[in-house]
Amino acid sequence: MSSPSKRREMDLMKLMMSDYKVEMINDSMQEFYVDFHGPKDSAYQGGVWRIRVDLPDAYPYKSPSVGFINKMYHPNVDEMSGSVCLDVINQTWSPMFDLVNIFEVFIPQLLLYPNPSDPLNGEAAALMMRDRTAYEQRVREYCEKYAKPEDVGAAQEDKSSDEELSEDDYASSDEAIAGEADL
Amino acid sequence: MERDSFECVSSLDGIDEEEIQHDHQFESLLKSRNNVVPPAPSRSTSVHELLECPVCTNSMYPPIHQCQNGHTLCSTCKTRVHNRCPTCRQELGDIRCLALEKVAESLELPCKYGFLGCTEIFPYYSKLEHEAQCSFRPYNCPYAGSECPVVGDIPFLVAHLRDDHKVDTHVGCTFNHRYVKSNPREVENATWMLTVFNCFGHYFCLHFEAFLIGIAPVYMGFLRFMGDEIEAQNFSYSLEVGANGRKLMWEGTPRSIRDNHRKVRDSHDGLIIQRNIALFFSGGDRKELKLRVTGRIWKEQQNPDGGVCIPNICS
Repeated sequence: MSSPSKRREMDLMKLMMSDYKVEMINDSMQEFYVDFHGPKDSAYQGGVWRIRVDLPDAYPYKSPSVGFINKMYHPNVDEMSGSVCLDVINQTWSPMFDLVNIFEVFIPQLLLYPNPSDPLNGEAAALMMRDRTAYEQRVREYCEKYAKPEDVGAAQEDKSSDEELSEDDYASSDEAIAGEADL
Repeated sequence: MERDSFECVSSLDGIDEEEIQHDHQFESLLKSRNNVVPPAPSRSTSVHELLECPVCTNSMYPPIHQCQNGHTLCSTCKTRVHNRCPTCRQELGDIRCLALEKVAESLELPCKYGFLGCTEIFPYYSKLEHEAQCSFRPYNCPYAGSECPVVGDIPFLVAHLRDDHKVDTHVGCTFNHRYVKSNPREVENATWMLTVFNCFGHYFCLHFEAFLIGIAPVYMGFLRFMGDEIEAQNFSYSLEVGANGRKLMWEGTPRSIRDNHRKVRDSHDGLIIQRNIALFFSGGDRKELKLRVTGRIWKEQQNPDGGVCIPNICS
């Protein structure tokens, strides 16, 4: 087993053992969804987000890419694509970090302490700096509207329906007609 | 209370009962004081953990590197972390951790395929060499149509071939296949067929496919044994194809699935049919390929008197 793949398996196992719901995409260990619950004592409490994780071939030497599937209102999360601007994932990643760190430390810290000076969602950043109470109210509205437990599955279906259609187009039927057995 | 003398042991088997007894006393003492149970002691396991690279989690082999703060790293990971220690981000430099390399030398560890039945124990530095050749190591999926990453033991792979790759499985030692292709001009590596046979209590993979040798299109049939090379030597098989009063025949020993499909195919170890002969066998207007491939598998039995092999053909 090559070194990154053993580490990948262990990190996924640790994530599952930490009671995160993990759902593989195409049975590969490189792409999967993780259900993430908003941190307690924050405006995100009670919200559930489905996060898509892509592990590059060079993981853990290269950082995973992480994106929210259902909508998230946060200065450092792009509302349309769900991509996350987080230095420990993007710039200062270390191979010593793992998936549990991302879901138990990095993302909760980002939600609790946003960085409005480096925004992906300019409107959220401006509102947060201008009126913290209104910002938190908007966060709760988004949680109520897009981040209820039942929204998690639906959000994934919306985003992945295109992929599922395209897979059938490329299915090869060569093998099926190659031969038959007489016995 | 007198302290027991501890001896440094390289595997858990070496811990004697007295020592375990002492640990139990220590555990119950702690338990009664503050209800905390310490983790069970395992000195060799903790040394083994020290020898695990903190990044890739594989066992470290010389050269084992360390940063100036003493954080260790395997040589594979060192080349990939841009000369920065992943633990403290200090510059790595070229410092060897000779002490840990020496400790590793004294260790003896069980083969990692112990859970599959291997009971052998090896010095740390021989372990890797053994594991690469261990007869208990899992097999790769023998499916040829794609690079299938699945590994497992034979019963698991047979079920995987049947359920996931929809491969036909047949019981018996003889076979009679028709290989039909409407456009014989298309010779691609993707044009192939796989069938699994169960006979003599073992499984065999029959491959039949079209590919190019240089620029010459050919069809090839060969058998692979689902097991190790040594066991494969106990069997023989024959394949034949023919029509119009002509016949091509191949007889040989099945190759083990330890040898991957491409390796066997590229060594031409099987029945090879040139396209013009294949079309001749197909008859008619030579526009369509219709080959009938028949064959059988038999077990070579040692004659108890003279040591001569007698074929044992199952009906």
